[in-house]
Amino acid sequence: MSTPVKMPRLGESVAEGTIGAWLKNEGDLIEQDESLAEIETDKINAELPSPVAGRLAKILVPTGATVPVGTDIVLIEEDADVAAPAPAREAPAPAVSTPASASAAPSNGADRAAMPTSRGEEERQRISPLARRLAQEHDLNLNQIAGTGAGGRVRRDDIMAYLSQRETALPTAPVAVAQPRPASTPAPAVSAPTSTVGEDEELVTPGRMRLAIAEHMVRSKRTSPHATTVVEVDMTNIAKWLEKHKDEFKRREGHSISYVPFVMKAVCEGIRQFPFLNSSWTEDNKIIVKKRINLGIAVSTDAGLVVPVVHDADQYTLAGLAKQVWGVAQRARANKLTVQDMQGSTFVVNNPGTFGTIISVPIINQPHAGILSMDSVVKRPVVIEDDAIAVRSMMYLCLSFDHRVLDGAGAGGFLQAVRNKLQSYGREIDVY
Amino acid sequence: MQLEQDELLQVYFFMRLTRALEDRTRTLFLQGRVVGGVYTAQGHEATSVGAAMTLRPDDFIVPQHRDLGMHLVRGTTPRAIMGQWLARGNSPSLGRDGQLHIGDVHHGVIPSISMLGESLPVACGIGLTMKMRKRSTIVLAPCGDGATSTGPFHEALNFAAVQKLPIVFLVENNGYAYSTPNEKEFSLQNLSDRALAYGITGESVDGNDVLAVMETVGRAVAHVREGKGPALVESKTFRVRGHSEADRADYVPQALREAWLAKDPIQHFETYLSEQGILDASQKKAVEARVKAAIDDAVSFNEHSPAPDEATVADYLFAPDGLIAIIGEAGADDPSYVNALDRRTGQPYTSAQQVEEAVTRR
Amino acid sequence: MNTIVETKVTYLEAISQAMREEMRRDEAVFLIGEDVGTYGGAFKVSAGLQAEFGPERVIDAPMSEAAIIGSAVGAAMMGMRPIAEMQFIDFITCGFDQIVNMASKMYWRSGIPLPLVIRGPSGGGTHGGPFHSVSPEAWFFHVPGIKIVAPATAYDAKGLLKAAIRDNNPVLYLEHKYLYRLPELRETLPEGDYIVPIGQALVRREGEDMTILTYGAMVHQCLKAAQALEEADDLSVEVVDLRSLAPLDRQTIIASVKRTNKVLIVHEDTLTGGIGAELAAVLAQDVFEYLDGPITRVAAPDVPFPYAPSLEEAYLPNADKILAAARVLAAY
Repeated sequence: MSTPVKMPRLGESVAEGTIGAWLKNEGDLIEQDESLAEIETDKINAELPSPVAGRLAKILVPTGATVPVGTDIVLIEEDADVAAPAPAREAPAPAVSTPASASAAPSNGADRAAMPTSRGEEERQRISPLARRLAQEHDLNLNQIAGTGAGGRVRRDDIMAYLSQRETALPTAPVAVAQPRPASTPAPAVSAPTSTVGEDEELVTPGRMRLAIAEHMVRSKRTSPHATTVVEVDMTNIAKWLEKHKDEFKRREGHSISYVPFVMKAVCEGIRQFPFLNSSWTEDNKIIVKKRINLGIAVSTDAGLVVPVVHDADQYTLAGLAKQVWGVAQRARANKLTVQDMQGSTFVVNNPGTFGTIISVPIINQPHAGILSMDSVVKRPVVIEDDAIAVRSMMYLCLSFDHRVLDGAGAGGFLQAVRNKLQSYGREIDVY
Repeated sequence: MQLEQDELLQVYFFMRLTRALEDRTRTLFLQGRVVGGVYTAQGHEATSVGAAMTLRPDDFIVPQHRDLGMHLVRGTTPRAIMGQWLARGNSPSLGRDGQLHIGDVHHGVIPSISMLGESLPVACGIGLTMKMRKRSTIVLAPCGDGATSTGPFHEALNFAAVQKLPIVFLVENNGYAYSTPNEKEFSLQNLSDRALAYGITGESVDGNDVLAVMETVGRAVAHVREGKGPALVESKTFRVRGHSEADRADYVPQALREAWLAKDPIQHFETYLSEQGILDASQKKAVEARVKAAIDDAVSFNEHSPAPDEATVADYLFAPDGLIAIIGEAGADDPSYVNALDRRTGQPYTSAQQVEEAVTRR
Repeated sequence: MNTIVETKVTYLEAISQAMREEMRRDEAVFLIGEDVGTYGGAFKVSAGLQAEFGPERVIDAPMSEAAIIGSAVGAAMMGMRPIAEMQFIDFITCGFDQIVNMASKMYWRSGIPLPLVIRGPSGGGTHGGPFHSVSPEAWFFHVPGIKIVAPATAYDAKGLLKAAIRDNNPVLYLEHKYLYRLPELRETLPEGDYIVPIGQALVRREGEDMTILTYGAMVHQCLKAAQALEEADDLSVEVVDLRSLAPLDRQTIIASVKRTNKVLIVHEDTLTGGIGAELAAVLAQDVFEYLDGPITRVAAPDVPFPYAPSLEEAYLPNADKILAAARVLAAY
């Protein structure tokens, strides 16, 4: 019995993926979780672990091909011994020519071979005819538009939502009316058809990941009304512990520990007290509060910034968090992040402090309600109890939040909880 | 039977016209000016002309592909026939159908189709209407020996019999259905025996003797006109040429063909008329001249006729809304009725005209 | 009469009324078929007609579909307006040649109008099995020169039959045997004369999110499904009863799909080559840039019609199956 393996969604708004390389061939035996292929997307490249054990029966999508999320890309024969006859279509069921599997599967090789350029084919697969026409009529760049149809397909509602976000006046009677080109300056440089380059200038074409980041940043700012609030945290005890114990920790564990796990744990505590920081504002003006705390950790790689996820961060000890963080960072830099690594984040912790910056105003990772930057820990003279001055290791925590979801009070309260947690550590810290 | 001289000469004229028109059609076909399937009926003239001569003005015929003689007797013009063969835009079918698939219900001629046998149920519909409208008119419905094997033949005869429809079913047994001789087509000696199966009268006749045909068919017509139900007549003749002009018919034994050629109905009738002193050399010449004139006129007319209109090939699929007249009732030709004119052209139907000479009818 | 009684009639009675009224109105109209006269028809559609109009206008024919249809053709050529009944529409195949070669081509090739109606009970759901349940529309849909109508309500059954009888062309009138005596289809019909024009569809339920195109008994299944979709999924579904299959009311169909952007086609006939296929082609051609999802069909599978009740139910589309398909399309 052949089990199809589908193209995963490597990130919330990723709609398609490319087969970078097949790591297994037809006929190979596969263990569960063994890597089948390298998947490349706008956001990240990752390896795809097999959901089942068996034999690789048939590769459906060749190397280099790009298909929508959810497309069957390979068949694994689970019970390799028994040749099960393919069951005939259930005769009594009335025939329904459903769209989902038929059009999503690019596996009819003849059709694909006959199709023209990859750009045209990608477009056809990720946008409905109606939506494409609307996009043309409104002079939109499809790269700007996230699709909410099956398989991440862009459909009419997505165009309409995008247009209403752009605050272009639209008539309530919809799609048949062609809108005049809006007066405001249109799309970012990505869509500009011609950029003229001067003699002392150089034209650089950004890579896919850069383009995707650009789109996301613009969209994020347009989606969430950002406000940023900052607290300063006395990290002295943690700093001292790290100084004293981190080498030993590294020797024992094989990986290092840093401020990051401490902040993550404190964030979990903050979220426990202020759950709205772990939520999303929806298109139909509702708030979805998430019960699991999956912290995204921003990691800088050669290709750009990636945000892999530590799931259920609140369940780990400090040491456990350190291990998780180290793991995702390793994989990120080695370009080996898994599907699991990329999906499901609910809140992001940003760590630009490694570059020495002390305050930042981060941009929310959609569709979250907030993002926290932990900047450099810097020794500074501060006023302590009894108005004495002491030199302490201080760190600014900068929270950007979606002002639709909460106000300054909630944001401030969260930061206060985080700070309190961080400042609660004494000289002796049990990280396990 | 006693027929007026005029009538006999008329019969002779139509037989000569039939033969000559088919000969000319064959010539045009061999010249490539007529295309497709060309069906002629050399040797059938006595059957088809003779049978048609027994009818009255308002009777109907439902002719098949070898009934040119019947068409001509009942008013279908040589121009219309030639227009069909030459596929002219002003043919009765506007170039859309070929062969003898033409008719004019206002003149009692029903257009046939290629599925042989299927015309007989339609003939039943004509007869049924006559019965419902209490007319004294009848239907002459010919078919070939092959058609008697079809389902619709049996359904039609049975239906006509049980409903006592005023129809003379004329089976023109010419010995072959394409390449299939009688002995492979059915197990009877006389197709008129089929009448027994339907409870109707049946009679066979020498189909190459026009007077015999007229007598026998006339008897059947009288029977039917008296309301005694349908009648079956088998006219035994022979198809001395192929099924179509593209068929050499080598399957016919030459001896058989020659025997029938010797019984050519026109020659046979000519001899009779000469012996009776009805047809002399000058009269024969006069007939030939008339025949030639009619055919030359038909060909010339159509040579100057327009080609079919490609632009309208997909038009006129459905008749327009409006009142329809019952054919044969008074006022049926009032142009306010949809079926008074050919609404595709807005003109009267063009295939038939009143028979030129008044002929004494029995 | 002092009291006004509101008489509701069944779908079957509506058909009977149409024939009776037309036969009274026009002496050229007559009925011919098997068992239609003395017996009143296998389903009693023509009960009482022979008593009123006599055996010459309500003709008991032998078991001869070719003769029944052929003589109707001949009579129509003579200007009569015959109604040829096929006892079960399945038997129309026995008169196929008369329809496709004799009737359909007559006016186009000869200019002779053919005011002919062929009617008979079609469709399944009555345990009829493979030879008494067929939906024959696709066979004749493809033949130029034949009009086809399929009423779904008593009102339309009467109005469309009158229109068919008055039409000067061959009309195949497909009454649905499952609807004949359904209590829920009983309705009060207008007093006077009325027709439902051939070539006009009817929007039976308005909606914004999806269009369902359907006809015949399936209209009622689609309406049930549409109601359920509104209640459960807050989905607004428009149901268009085609009524006329040939010619199709392209204007209504296209206007609806342009507005809703998603279309589901439902028919009881088998899937491949059913009328839904033609509708899908027309829509793909004419409203491609208005489609927010693929054109979807729900139909019977491509096998003969089964006899056993459980198989019949598994075979036929119904409200549940329509609802499931609509949900998939809605989520696209």
